[in-house]
Amino acid sequence: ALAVQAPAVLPQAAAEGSEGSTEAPGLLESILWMAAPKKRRSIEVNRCRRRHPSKLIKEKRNIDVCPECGNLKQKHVLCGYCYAKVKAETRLIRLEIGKKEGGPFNAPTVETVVLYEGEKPSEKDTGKRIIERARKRPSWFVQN
Amino acid sequence: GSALARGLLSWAQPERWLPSCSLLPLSCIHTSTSLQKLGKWEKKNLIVYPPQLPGEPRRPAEIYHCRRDIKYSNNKMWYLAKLIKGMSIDQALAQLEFSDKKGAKVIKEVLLEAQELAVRKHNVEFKSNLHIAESLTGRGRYVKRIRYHAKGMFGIMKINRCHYFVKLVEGPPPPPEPPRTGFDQAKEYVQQLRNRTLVHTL
Repeated sequence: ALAVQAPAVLPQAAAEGSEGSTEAPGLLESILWMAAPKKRRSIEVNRCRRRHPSKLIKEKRNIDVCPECGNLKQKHVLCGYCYAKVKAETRLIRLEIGKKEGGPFNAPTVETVVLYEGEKPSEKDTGKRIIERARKRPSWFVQN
Repeated sequence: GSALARGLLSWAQPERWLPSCSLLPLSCIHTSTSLQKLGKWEKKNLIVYPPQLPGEPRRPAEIYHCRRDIKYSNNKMWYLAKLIKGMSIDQALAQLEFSDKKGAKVIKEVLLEAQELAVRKHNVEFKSNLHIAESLTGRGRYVKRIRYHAKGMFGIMKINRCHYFVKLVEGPPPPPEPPRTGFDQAKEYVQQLRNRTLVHTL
Protein backbone atom coordinates (compact mmCIF):
# COMPACT_ATOMS: atom_id res chain seq x y z
CA ALA A 1 0.00 0.00 0.00
CA LEU A 2 2.81 2.44 0.93
CA ALA A 3 4.74 1.65 -2.26
CA VAL A 4 1.62 2.47 -4.35
CA GLN A 5 0.89 5.78 -2.55
CA ALA A 6 4.42 7.16 -2.79
CA PRO A 7 4.42 7.89 -6.56
CA ALA A 8 1.15 9.81 -6.18
CA VAL A 9 2.73 12.13 -3.57
CA LEU A 10 6.15 12.63 -5.18
CA PRO A 11 5.11 14.31 -8.49
CA GLN A 12 3.12 16.94 -6.53
CA ALA A 13 6.15 17.73 -4.36
CA ALA A 14 8.35 17.85 -7.46
CA ALA A 15 5.89 20.24 -9.19
CA GLU A 16 5.70 22.55 -6.11
CA GLY A 17 9.50 22.56 -5.80
CA SER A 18 9.99 23.57 -9.45
CA GLU A 19 7.38 26.33 -9.16
CA GLY A 20 8.91 27.75 -6.05
CA SER A 21 12.50 27.84 -7.41
CA THR A 22 12.00 29.25 -10.90
CA GLU A 23 9.00 31.53 -11.41
CA ALA A 24 8.52 32.51 -15.06
CA PRO A 25 8.15 36.32 -14.94
CA GLY A 26 4.99 37.68 -16.48
CA LEU A 27 5.10 40.49 -19.04
CA LEU A 28 4.28 43.17 -16.47
CA GLU A 29 7.45 42.40 -14.50
CA SER A 30 9.75 41.77 -17.46
CA ILE A 31 9.05 45.31 -18.74
CA LEU A 32 11.43 46.53 -16.05
CA TRP A 33 14.31 44.61 -17.68
CA MET A 34 13.67 45.70 -21.32
CA ALA A 35 16.15 47.90 -23.18
CA ALA A 36 15.09 51.55 -23.48
CA PRO A 37 16.96 54.65 -24.59
CA LYS A 38 18.34 56.63 -21.70
CA LYS A 39 18.69 59.97 -23.41
CA ARG A 40 17.35 61.58 -26.56
CA ARG A 41 19.83 61.25 -29.41
CA SER A 42 20.90 64.70 -30.49
CA ILE A 43 20.67 65.71 -34.15
CA GLU A 44 24.50 65.78 -34.35
CA VAL A 45 24.70 62.14 -33.28
CA ASN A 46 21.85 61.23 -35.62
CA ARG A 47 23.58 62.97 -38.52
CA CYS A 48 26.86 61.14 -37.82
CA ARG A 49 25.00 57.86 -38.10
CA ARG A 50 22.79 58.73 -41.08
CA ARG A 51 25.58 60.30 -43.13
CA HIS A 52 28.25 57.69 -42.45
CA PRO A 53 29.95 56.61 -45.71
CA SER A 54 28.64 53.06 -45.30
CA LYS A 55 25.07 54.42 -45.48
CA LEU A 56 25.58 56.68 -48.49
CA ILE A 57 24.67 55.31 -51.92
CA LYS A 58 27.77 54.05 -53.69
CA GLU A 59 28.57 55.12 -57.23
CA LYS A 60 28.17 52.30 -59.76
CA ARG A 61 31.15 51.70 -61.98
CA ASN A 62 29.67 48.90 -64.12
CA ILE A 63 27.67 51.04 -66.57
CA ASP A 64 28.52 50.84 -70.27
CA VAL A 65 27.04 51.83 -73.61
CA CYS A 66 25.12 49.21 -75.59
CA PRO A 67 26.88 48.74 -78.97
CA GLU A 68 23.57 48.01 -80.73
CA CYS A 69 21.31 50.89 -79.74
CA GLY A 70 23.61 53.29 -77.86
CA ASN A 71 21.58 53.36 -74.65
CA LEU A 72 23.18 52.74 -71.29
CA LYS A 73 23.34 49.23 -69.91
CA GLN A 74 24.89 47.47 -66.94
CA LYS A 75 27.74 45.20 -67.89
CA HIS A 76 26.20 41.96 -66.59
CA VAL A 77 22.60 42.74 -67.66
CA LEU A 78 20.93 42.81 -71.08
CA CYS A 79 20.29 46.24 -72.58
CA GLY A 80 16.82 47.36 -71.51
CA TYR A 81 15.93 48.99 -74.81
CA CYS A 82 16.97 46.03 -76.96
CA TYR A 83 15.19 43.64 -74.62
CA ALA A 84 11.98 45.68 -74.81
CA LYS A 85 12.26 45.71 -78.63
CA VAL A 86 12.61 41.91 -78.77
CA LYS A 87 9.84 41.47 -76.20
CA ALA A 88 7.41 43.53 -78.30
CA GLU A 89 8.14 41.51 -81.43
CA THR A 90 7.83 38.23 -79.51
CA ARG A 91 4.44 39.33 -78.21
CA LEU A 92 3.20 39.91 -81.76
CA ILE A 93 4.53 36.51 -82.88
CA ARG A 94 2.73 34.90 -79.94
CA LEU A 95 -0.51 36.64 -80.96
CA GLU A 96 -0.13 35.15 -84.45
CA ILE A 97 0.47 31.73 -82.93
CA GLY A 98 -2.62 32.17 -80.80
CA LYS A 99 -4.73 33.06 -83.84
CA LYS A 100 -3.43 29.98 -85.67
CA GLU A 101 -4.02 27.60 -82.79
CA GLY A 102 -7.41 29.06 -81.95
CA GLY A 103 -7.54 27.97 -78.33
CA PRO A 104 -5.61 26.56 -75.40
CA PHE A 105 -3.91 23.15 -75.48
CA ASN A 106 -3.68 23.12 -79.31
CA ALA A 107 0.13 23.34 -79.60
CA PRO A 108 1.34 21.03 -82.39
CA THR A 109 4.12 18.52 -81.84
CA VAL A 110 6.32 19.98 -84.61
CA GLU A 111 8.74 22.92 -84.53
CA THR A 112 7.74 26.45 -85.45
CA VAL A 113 9.35 28.74 -88.00
CA VAL A 114 8.66 32.49 -88.28
CA LEU A 115 8.72 33.94 -91.79
CA TYR A 116 8.52 37.60 -92.66
CA GLU A 117 7.40 39.33 -95.87
CA GLY A 118 8.79 37.88 -99.07
CA GLU A 119 10.36 34.81 -97.49
CA LYS A 120 9.81 31.24 -98.59
CA PRO A 121 10.22 28.19 -96.37
CA SER A 122 13.51 26.43 -97.19
CA GLU A 123 14.09 22.63 -97.50
CA LYS A 124 15.03 22.43 -93.82
CA ASP A 125 11.60 23.79 -92.81
CA THR A 126 9.56 21.06 -94.50
CA GLY A 127 7.75 19.52 -91.52
CA LYS A 128 7.59 22.66 -89.36
CA ARG A 129 4.64 24.89 -88.56
CA ILE A 130 4.97 28.27 -90.32
CA ILE A 131 3.99 31.55 -88.64
CA GLU A 132 3.71 34.52 -91.01
CA ARG A 133 4.43 38.07 -89.83
CA ALA A 134 3.33 40.91 -92.09
CA ARG A 135 6.44 43.05 -91.83
CA LYS A 136 10.03 43.22 -93.00
CA ARG A 137 12.45 40.96 -91.14
CA PRO A 138 14.08 42.93 -88.29
CA SER A 139 17.86 43.19 -88.60
CA TRP A 140 18.46 41.53 -85.25
CA PHE A 141 16.35 38.42 -86.08
CA VAL A 142 18.86 36.39 -88.09
CA GLN A 143 17.45 33.78 -90.45
CA ASN A 144 19.14 30.37 -90.29
CA GLY B 1 -26.89 77.45 -38.38
CA SER B 2 -28.74 80.73 -38.81
CA ALA B 3 -25.90 82.67 -37.19
CA LEU B 4 -23.48 81.00 -39.62
CA ALA B 5 -25.67 81.93 -42.59
CA ARG B 6 -25.93 85.53 -41.34
CA GLY B 7 -22.18 85.65 -40.88
CA LEU B 8 -21.65 84.34 -44.41
CA LEU B 9 -24.08 86.82 -45.86
CA SER B 10 -22.40 89.67 -44.02
CA TRP B 11 -19.04 88.51 -45.34
CA ALA B 12 -20.29 88.08 -48.88
CA GLN B 13 -21.43 91.64 -49.37
CA PRO B 14 -20.68 92.42 -52.99
CA GLU B 15 -20.43 96.18 -52.29
CA ARG B 16 -17.32 95.59 -50.18
CA TRP B 17 -15.62 93.68 -52.98
CA LEU B 18 -15.61 96.47 -55.52
CA PRO B 19 -12.02 97.69 -55.54
CA SER B 20 -11.00 100.84 -57.33
CA CYS B 21 -9.77 98.95 -60.41
CA SER B 22 -13.15 97.38 -61.19
CA LEU B 23 -14.09 100.34 -63.37
CA LEU B 24 -11.14 99.69 -65.72
CA PRO B 25 -11.66 97.55 -68.83
CA LEU B 26 -11.69 93.78 -68.62
CA SER B 27 -8.10 93.31 -69.88
CA CYS B 28 -6.59 93.97 -66.44
CA ILE B 29 -8.46 91.13 -64.70
CA HIS B 30 -6.17 88.21 -63.85
CA THR B 31 -7.49 84.94 -65.21
CA SER B 32 -6.91 81.72 -63.28
CA THR B 33 -4.36 80.39 -65.79
CA SER B 34 -1.41 82.07 -64.01
CA LEU B 35 0.90 79.74 -62.04
CA GLN B 36 1.03 79.61 -58.27
CA LYS B 37 3.27 81.95 -56.39
CA LEU B 38 6.88 81.50 -57.64
CA GLY B 39 9.18 80.06 -55.01
CA LYS B 40 12.63 81.44 -54.24
CA TRP B 41 14.38 78.82 -56.33
CA GLU B 42 12.25 79.52 -59.41
CA LYS B 43 12.93 83.26 -59.06
CA LYS B 44 16.68 82.64 -59.29
CA ASN B 45 16.23 81.89 -62.98
CA LEU B 46 14.89 85.39 -63.58
CA ILE B 47 18.00 87.39 -62.57
CA VAL B 48 19.64 89.17 -65.49
CA TYR B 49 23.27 90.22 -65.23
CA PRO B 50 24.51 93.38 -66.94
CA PRO B 51 26.50 92.74 -70.13
CA GLN B 52 30.08 91.68 -69.48
CA LEU B 53 33.02 93.90 -70.38
CA PRO B 54 35.24 92.66 -73.25
CA GLY B 55 38.15 91.68 -70.99
CA GLU B 56 36.19 89.64 -68.41
CA PRO B 57 36.19 85.84 -68.47
CA ARG B 58 32.91 84.36 -69.67
CA ARG B 59 30.36 83.86 -66.90
CA PRO B 60 29.14 80.23 -67.06
CA ALA B 61 25.40 79.80 -67.49
CA GLU B 62 23.44 78.77 -64.39
CA ILE B 63 20.14 76.97 -64.59
CA TYR B 64 17.93 76.56 -61.52
CA HIS B 65 15.20 73.93 -61.62
CA CYS B 66 13.06 72.26 -59.02
CA ARG B 67 10.08 70.00 -58.53
CA ARG B 68 7.66 70.51 -55.66
CA ASP B 69 5.59 68.08 -53.59
CA ILE B 70 7.18 64.82 -54.69
CA LYS B 71 5.56 61.91 -52.88
CA TYR B 72 8.78 60.64 -51.28
CA SER B 73 10.60 61.08 -48.01
CA ASN B 74 12.96 64.02 -47.57
CA ASN B 75 15.60 61.92 -45.82
CA LYS B 76 15.56 59.19 -48.45
CA MET B 77 15.76 61.73 -51.27
CA TRP B 78 18.79 63.33 -49.61
CA TYR B 79 20.92 60.24 -50.29
CA LEU B 80 20.26 60.53 -54.02
CA ALA B 81 20.91 64.27 -53.98
CA LYS B 82 24.22 63.63 -52.20
CA LEU B 83 25.14 60.97 -54.80
CA ILE B 84 24.87 63.27 -57.80
CA LYS B 85 26.32 66.40 -56.22
CA GLY B 86 29.31 67.53 -58.29
CA MET B 87 28.90 65.02 -61.13
CA SER B 88 28.55 65.82 -64.79
CA ILE B 89 24.99 65.53 -66.03
CA ASP B 90 25.64 62.41 -68.14
CA GLN B 91 27.24 60.61 -65.24
CA ALA B 92 24.38 61.62 -62.94
CA LEU B 93 21.77 60.35 -65.41
CA ALA B 94 23.65 57.05 -65.74
CA GLN B 95 23.80 56.55 -61.97
CA LEU B 96 20.13 57.42 -61.52
CA GLU B 97 18.99 55.13 -64.31
CA PHE B 98 20.34 52.05 -62.56
CA SER B 99 19.44 53.07 -59.03
CA ASP B 100 16.61 51.07 -57.48
CA LYS B 101 15.12 53.95 -55.51
CA LYS B 102 11.78 55.58 -56.27
CA GLY B 103 13.25 59.07 -56.08
CA ALA B 104 15.83 58.22 -58.75
CA LYS B 105 13.17 58.20 -61.45
CA VAL B 106 11.84 61.60 -60.33
CA ILE B 107 15.29 63.18 -60.15
CA LYS B 108 16.10 61.83 -63.59
CA GLU B 109 13.00 63.52 -65.02
CA VAL B 110 13.94 66.77 -63.29
CA LEU B 111 17.48 66.65 -64.70
CA LEU B 112 16.23 65.99 -68.23
CA GLU B 113 13.75 68.87 -67.92
CA ALA B 114 16.51 71.14 -66.66
CA GLN B 115 18.80 70.10 -69.53
CA GLU B 116 16.03 70.90 -72.02
CA LEU B 117 15.45 74.30 -70.39
CA ALA B 118 19.17 75.03 -70.51
CA VAL B 119 19.41 74.37 -74.23
CA ARG B 120 16.23 76.17 -75.18
CA LYS B 121 16.15 79.22 -72.93
CA HIS B 122 19.52 79.72 -71.26
CA ASN B 123 21.81 79.76 -74.31
CA VAL B 124 23.73 76.59 -73.47
CA GLU B 125 25.52 75.26 -76.53
CA PHE B 126 26.18 71.61 -75.65
CA LYS B 127 23.71 69.75 -73.49
CA SER B 128 26.46 67.47 -72.16
CA ASN B 129 28.63 70.39 -71.06
CA LEU B 130 26.68 70.82 -67.83
CA HIS B 131 27.51 69.76 -64.32
CA ILE B 132 25.50 69.71 -61.13
CA ALA B 133 26.70 72.50 -58.88
CA GLU B 134 24.05 72.12 -56.19
CA SER B 135 21.41 69.49 -55.54
CA LEU B 136 19.22 69.89 -52.48
CA THR B 137 16.08 68.47 -50.99
CA GLY B 138 13.51 70.21 -48.88
CA ARG B 139 10.59 69.10 -46.77
CA GLY B 140 7.20 69.41 -48.42
CA ARG B 141 3.84 69.72 -46.71
CA TYR B 142 3.09 66.71 -44.54
CA VAL B 143 -0.45 65.47 -43.86
CA LYS B 144 -1.49 63.17 -41.04
CA ARG B 145 -3.63 60.15 -41.73
CA ILE B 146 -4.99 57.29 -39.64
CA ARG B 147 -3.39 53.90 -40.04
CA TYR B 148 -5.70 51.12 -38.87
CA HIS B 149 -4.20 48.37 -36.73
CA ALA B 150 -5.71 45.17 -35.33
CA LYS B 151 -8.08 45.09 -32.36
CA GLY B 152 -9.46 48.54 -33.07
CA MET B 153 -6.14 50.25 -32.43
CA PHE B 154 -4.95 52.99 -34.70
CA GLY B 155 -1.82 54.94 -35.35
CA ILE B 156 -1.39 58.35 -36.88
CA MET B 157 0.85 58.18 -39.93
CA LYS B 158 2.58 61.05 -41.67
CA ILE B 159 2.41 61.28 -45.47
CA ASN B 160 5.85 62.60 -46.40
CA ARG B 161 6.40 64.87 -49.33
CA CYS B 162 9.59 66.58 -50.44
CA HIS B 163 10.88 69.13 -52.88
CA TYR B 164 13.97 68.65 -55.03
CA PHE B 165 16.17 71.55 -56.19
CA VAL B 166 19.00 71.38 -58.69
CA LYS B 167 21.42 73.98 -60.07
CA LEU B 168 23.17 73.14 -63.33
CA VAL B 169 26.22 75.12 -64.39
CA GLU B 170 27.78 75.08 -67.81
CA GLY B 171 31.24 73.60 -68.07
CA PRO B 172 33.05 70.45 -66.99
CA PRO B 173 32.63 69.36 -63.35
CA PRO B 174 35.22 70.80 -60.97
CA PRO B 175 37.95 68.36 -59.89
CA PRO B 176 37.20 66.72 -56.53
CA GLU B 177 38.96 68.19 -53.53
CA PRO B 178 41.92 66.10 -52.38
CA PRO B 179 41.25 64.58 -48.94
CA ARG B 180 42.73 66.42 -46.00
CA THR B 181 45.96 64.74 -44.99
CA GLY B 182 47.75 64.84 -41.66
CA PHE B 183 50.39 67.04 -43.23
CA ASP B 184 47.75 69.66 -44.13
CA GLN B 185 46.38 69.58 -40.61
CA ALA B 186 49.86 69.99 -39.18
CA LYS B 187 50.58 72.92 -41.49
CA GLU B 188 47.35 74.62 -40.43
CA TYR B 189 48.17 74.09 -36.77
CA VAL B 190 51.63 75.63 -37.17
CA GLN B 191 50.08 78.56 -39.05
CA GLN B 192 47.61 79.11 -36.21
CA LEU B 193 50.48 79.17 -33.73
CA ARG B 194 52.33 81.70 -35.86
CA ASN B 195 49.25 83.96 -36.10
CA ARG B 196 49.14 84.44 -32.34
CA THR B 197 49.92 87.97 -31.31
CA LEU B 198 49.71 90.24 -28.27
CA VAL B 199 46.47 92.13 -27.85
CA HIS B 200 45.65 95.30 -25.90
CA THR B 201 49.33 96.18 -25.59
CA LEU B 202 51.72 98.75 -27.01
